[in-house]
Amino acid sequence: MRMPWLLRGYAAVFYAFLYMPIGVMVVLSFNDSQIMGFPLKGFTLRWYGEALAEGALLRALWNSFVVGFVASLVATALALMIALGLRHRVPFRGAVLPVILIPIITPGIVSGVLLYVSFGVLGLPYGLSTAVIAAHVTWVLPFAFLTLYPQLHRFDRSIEEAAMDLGATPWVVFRRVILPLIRPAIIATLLFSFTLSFDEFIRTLFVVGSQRTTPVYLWLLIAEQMAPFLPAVGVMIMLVSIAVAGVGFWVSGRAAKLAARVEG
Amino acid sequence: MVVPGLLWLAVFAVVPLGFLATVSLWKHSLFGLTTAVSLDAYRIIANEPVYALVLWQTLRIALVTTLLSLVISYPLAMFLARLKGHHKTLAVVLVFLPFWTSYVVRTFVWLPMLGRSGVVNSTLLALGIIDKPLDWLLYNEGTVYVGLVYVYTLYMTLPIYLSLDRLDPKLVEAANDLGATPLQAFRRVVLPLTMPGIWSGCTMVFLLSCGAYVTPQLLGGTSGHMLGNVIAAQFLHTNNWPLGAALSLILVVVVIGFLFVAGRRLGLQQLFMGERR
Amino acid sequence: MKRREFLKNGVAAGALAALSGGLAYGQADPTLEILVVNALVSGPLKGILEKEAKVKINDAPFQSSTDVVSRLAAPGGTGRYNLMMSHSIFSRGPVLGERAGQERCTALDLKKIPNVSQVADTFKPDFLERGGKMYGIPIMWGYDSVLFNTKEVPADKDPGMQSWGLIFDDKYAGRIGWQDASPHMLLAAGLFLGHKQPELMNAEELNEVGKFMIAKKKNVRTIWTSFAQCSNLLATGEVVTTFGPIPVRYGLQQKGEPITNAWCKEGVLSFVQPAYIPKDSSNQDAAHAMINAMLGQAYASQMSPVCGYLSTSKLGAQDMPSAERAKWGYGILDGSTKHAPLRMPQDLNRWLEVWTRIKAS
Repeated sequence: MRMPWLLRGYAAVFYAFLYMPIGVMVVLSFNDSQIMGFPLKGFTLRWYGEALAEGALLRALWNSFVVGFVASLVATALALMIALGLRHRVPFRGAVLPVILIPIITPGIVSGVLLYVSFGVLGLPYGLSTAVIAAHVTWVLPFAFLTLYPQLHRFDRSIEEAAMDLGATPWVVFRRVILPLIRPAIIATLLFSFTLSFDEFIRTLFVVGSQRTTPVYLWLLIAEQMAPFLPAVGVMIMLVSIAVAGVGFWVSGRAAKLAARVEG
Repeated sequence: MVVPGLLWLAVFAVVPLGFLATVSLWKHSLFGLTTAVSLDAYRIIANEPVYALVLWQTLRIALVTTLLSLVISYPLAMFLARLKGHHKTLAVVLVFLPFWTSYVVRTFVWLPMLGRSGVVNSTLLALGIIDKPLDWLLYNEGTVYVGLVYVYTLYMTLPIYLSLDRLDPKLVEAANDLGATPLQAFRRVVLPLTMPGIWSGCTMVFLLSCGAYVTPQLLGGTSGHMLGNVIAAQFLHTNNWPLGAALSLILVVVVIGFLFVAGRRLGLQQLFMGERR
Repeated sequence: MKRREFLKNGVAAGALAALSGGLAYGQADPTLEILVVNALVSGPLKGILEKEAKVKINDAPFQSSTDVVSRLAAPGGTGRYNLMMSHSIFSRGPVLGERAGQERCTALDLKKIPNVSQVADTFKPDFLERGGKMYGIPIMWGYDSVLFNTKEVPADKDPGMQSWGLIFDDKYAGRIGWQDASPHMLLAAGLFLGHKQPELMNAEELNEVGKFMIAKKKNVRTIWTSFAQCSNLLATGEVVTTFGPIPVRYGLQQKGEPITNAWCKEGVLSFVQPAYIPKDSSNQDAAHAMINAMLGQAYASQMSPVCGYLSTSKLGAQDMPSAERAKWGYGILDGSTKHAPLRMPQDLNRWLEVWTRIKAS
């Protein structure tokens, strides 16, 4: 399809608005002023220095990445399974969608409180590897499903049926027929899930115990004091995320080439 | 196949919901919760009109946000779908990128942008376009829309983009060959085929907006008050869990009901859940 | 599977340095999980306590006093944390339970807390006691007042101006901030409208206050929740006067901003926070030691300079010059500064409803 100039122009304006707050954030991160805001009083790198010196921040970043990684994998896998399964006539099929949407509709505070109480009643420990992962997977699952399902739903089953007629097992059908075709959607879902988990803080706040994920750390920071190094932290988080995503893409590209070579 | 996912949901979504319903029926007292069953929470909600008012306002704001988001994101999704190769990947990643800063920072940054001494005002003043800072950029309902649409851009763009991406260009070519104008081709071919993606995006944004509380609180000033704030207050300020739970339950029920009615009327439900042979 | 492992290893290698930085903890001291206003264990304060009480402190995110007591009262809540603190007005009920024998907290062994004798007499009503046993000891106190920009609001030169009325004043229309906190805002309005004990207002009087505030709402620029918001509003000049807590005033003054608080002639709203030990928690001896350390000289004298809150212990202010004492607000203790204790109204729900109505109008 051609690309009309109107569309190009629109995209340019869109990206400009999308990145304006980011730009402001970057500018403010160098602002030599005790207040997070204008006017600009001079250039300084001290906020980056302060942010980097905060061992707690780096730990929180690490925690966020690990949790995001695990949560996105689990949620995408679960969502994929549900989406695949729903293509058949499963009993109660119509009721599944509202159930899946529950974690999104329930306000964050309520979800957090409920999880807090549930874990308390069951005597389970709070903390990253238990409650937080559970909270994040639950939170991300509906989004993963909503992203994946439309892509699977319009899938042409005749290709699958043809493959099965030729003797392929369901697993092979999945791997060689379905998977390649929905690969972009799965990658998008993984990325999306990771982003959601990374940003999630209101539910996490209740069950994180004494550890911190990045948004929880920042949220507490601003709850009690004004932190002029907030923009610097924002920029740092973005840079680290870019780096990780870059590595991820590079690895994914290499793995795909490898797989192509092996199977080709 | 479906079982593991549903099991997870059963444990972490359905059971808590049941628990939510139970909590809403408990009695609240100064000494904390007592598990005696009582309809106090619901009685309060029924008698005090402000709750219905805020619920209505929440739905209204969520709806407007969803529509604005759709209108803004669809063209971008079209742009992304028409790119190829590296440009496409880059452009898509660039949409994700802003969401990899922190939500907290991203929302806060609106203040130095739109405030009286913020970027926009300072620039306009310097350019001589205005001679006094504009008050209305910040702390009103309009700001809430800006904030919410901005924060939810990704949620709307992504599913629409994925739908468009999978669209076979030959279908549009065929329509053109048969004499359709671009507008007609869009309306009769592209739009219906991207409905699942549109529905996904709208559902996500609508639901998220209904539960939003940080953004409207930070940017709305004295307006744009949403149910999320009221519910949060119950848990954080008055320790009245039954009332908070009742309000949440009502929100969940109303919103799901709303979705179903709207979905059915627009015929989207069939499309989405797909009664295919 | 290769792809995922690679990714995992890459990320692991990259962040190992960050992680190893956090592993250098002493293994010997018992660890206390606490839920208190995080500012109280911020900066050097945590180190002082850890040294004095020989503990390691992990502080969970504090959201509000009501959240703290909710957690205590929730199922399983009596074993989650080793030490908790919340406003005394919210604490009595949940800590002591409805009847004798239903206490959720440990009866404190005062022999392990010798510094309890240092608590100033003003705070006698804030001890949480029942049947001769002590369950909660006041540790910290503070007050909410009106914060204002001295360059725009000349109230520091004119004590007559120092009143809750500043945040309702039409003169500052569009430049006023309110905090999203009922009952605080309603109590302040009540004080301004002449009620000496606003927490005792009946439904009619409360509705009058509501109407008054709805009428004044047009003067308000925004209603904030987090302290960072409040600081930002004052520092950027978005508002010139607001309802405000100590840490905001303190933080801004540290940064050299011309902000100070008004000693409202109707009385600033003072509150006290006692500490208590949930009854099923571990390391209770260590928790006792921590309470004792909080009342001791080393910690109490540093509390105000580091975070702005005030200590209930006489050891806190005893070495302070009188100008400094007045600045922090210790004048409240000897009566030279007027204050109205923040007390909880009987029907908190109705107050929140009125506040919701005000916000939604």
